[in-house]
Amino acid sequence: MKVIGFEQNQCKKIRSYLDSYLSNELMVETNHEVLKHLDGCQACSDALASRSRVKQVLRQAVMQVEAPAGLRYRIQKDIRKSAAPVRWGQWALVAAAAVVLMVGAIGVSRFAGSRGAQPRNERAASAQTAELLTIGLNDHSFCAIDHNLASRRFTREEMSQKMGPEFAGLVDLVEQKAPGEYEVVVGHRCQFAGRPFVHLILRNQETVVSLVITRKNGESFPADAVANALKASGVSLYDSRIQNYEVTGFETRDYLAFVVSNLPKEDNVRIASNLAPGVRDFLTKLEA
Amino acid sequence: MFGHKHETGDFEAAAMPHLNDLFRTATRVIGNRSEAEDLVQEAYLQAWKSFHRFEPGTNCRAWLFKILFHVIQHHRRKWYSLRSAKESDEILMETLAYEPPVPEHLSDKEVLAAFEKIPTQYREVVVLADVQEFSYKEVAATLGVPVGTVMSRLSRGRALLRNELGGLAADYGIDTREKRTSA
Repeated sequence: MKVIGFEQNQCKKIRSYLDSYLSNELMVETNHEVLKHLDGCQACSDALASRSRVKQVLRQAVMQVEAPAGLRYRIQKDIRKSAAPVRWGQWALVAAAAVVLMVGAIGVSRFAGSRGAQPRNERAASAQTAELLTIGLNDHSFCAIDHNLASRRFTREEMSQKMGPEFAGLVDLVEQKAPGEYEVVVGHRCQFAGRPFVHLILRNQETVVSLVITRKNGESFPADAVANALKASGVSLYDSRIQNYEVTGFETRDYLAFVVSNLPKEDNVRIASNLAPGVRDFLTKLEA
Repeated sequence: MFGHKHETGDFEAAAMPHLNDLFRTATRVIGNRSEAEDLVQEAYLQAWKSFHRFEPGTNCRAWLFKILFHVIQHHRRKWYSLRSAKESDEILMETLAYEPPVPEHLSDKEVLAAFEKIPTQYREVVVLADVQEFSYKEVAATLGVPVGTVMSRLSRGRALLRNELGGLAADYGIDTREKRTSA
């Protein structure tokens, strides 16, 4: 039997703190504990000195590199070019677009007028909506992007097997309802931060879109969210741009569903609008 | 839109001082100077186009890094597949138990070559935290991952770099056996 002494255990614990100590991210009490231990332990002091030296030599080596002068010039040229004043020929187009926008804005303001403006409530609802939408974004980002699952292609059999009998029917449904240029390439169950998800990945060449579904954990979209104005066949859609991704969500009694991509808002909402009614009906049947 | 001409000066004053930092980071993450140049140029153009959404007084450097990593992720999805984290987890099982000695005299070239051998997902966290000195929270926001992931990737990335540099120590004839058993 291997016997580990108290001191060795203490060293193990302190070593696990060294990275956060080095980044200045420890709580004050833990910081004291580390300092106290280092005072009496040469091996851990050496380990810290070595880690600190690695950080220092890396920083020094990376900081030696300078951006080439040509790059600065090219960037400034890009910026100034795209900021160049619009020529007369283009003014007519700009004016026409402005008229269309104004007419649209008048229509929208009349339509929305009865709801009344409550900026503070709206802000709170938007924050709550964004927090819920982040649940779907995290799984998309972790699974499809970080672990590069979006580059894989599962067969229908593999998808059925991985999704289980309860959700296997979603693959055909999503394939059918998604815009024609998109194809379901991955369907599986996954977990992020201890939360289980059903995850389908759709692709159109280089564009990756996730449909992420998870059981509610007491959460719901706020009833007075502004984005609630978006509806697809009676399903309320909630949308937000978070960390350069567009996330559109909807819910049933027991489930939250999210469509996530790096597409512009209108394209992501269009895909969510196509999917939401069918997916809502599918999930409602499971709840019965 | 019509205020653009007026704003170019504001944008350049706020964003251009960070060019070197963005370029250094992109070069280390991508591992190729000319691709890094293109990606930084693209990131600046995107930043300029969305400059109207930038709130003056907030952290412009962090905002630019976020855009840069969005551009890098897009580029990667287009051209590369990430090396799986699994292989490095296995390496770690062997290496975490001891602190290999780091040679006294290391050239920048040797350090950068060792850093290059680490999988990208660890390299990007190490460069943001240790070189650019962003907080865990800022790194998490830049990469769009949870803080816990930043902490574990940073710890693994640093351990892998120590291991690579420790390999150099062995090449220099520094005996690593005693240290291996003492920790």
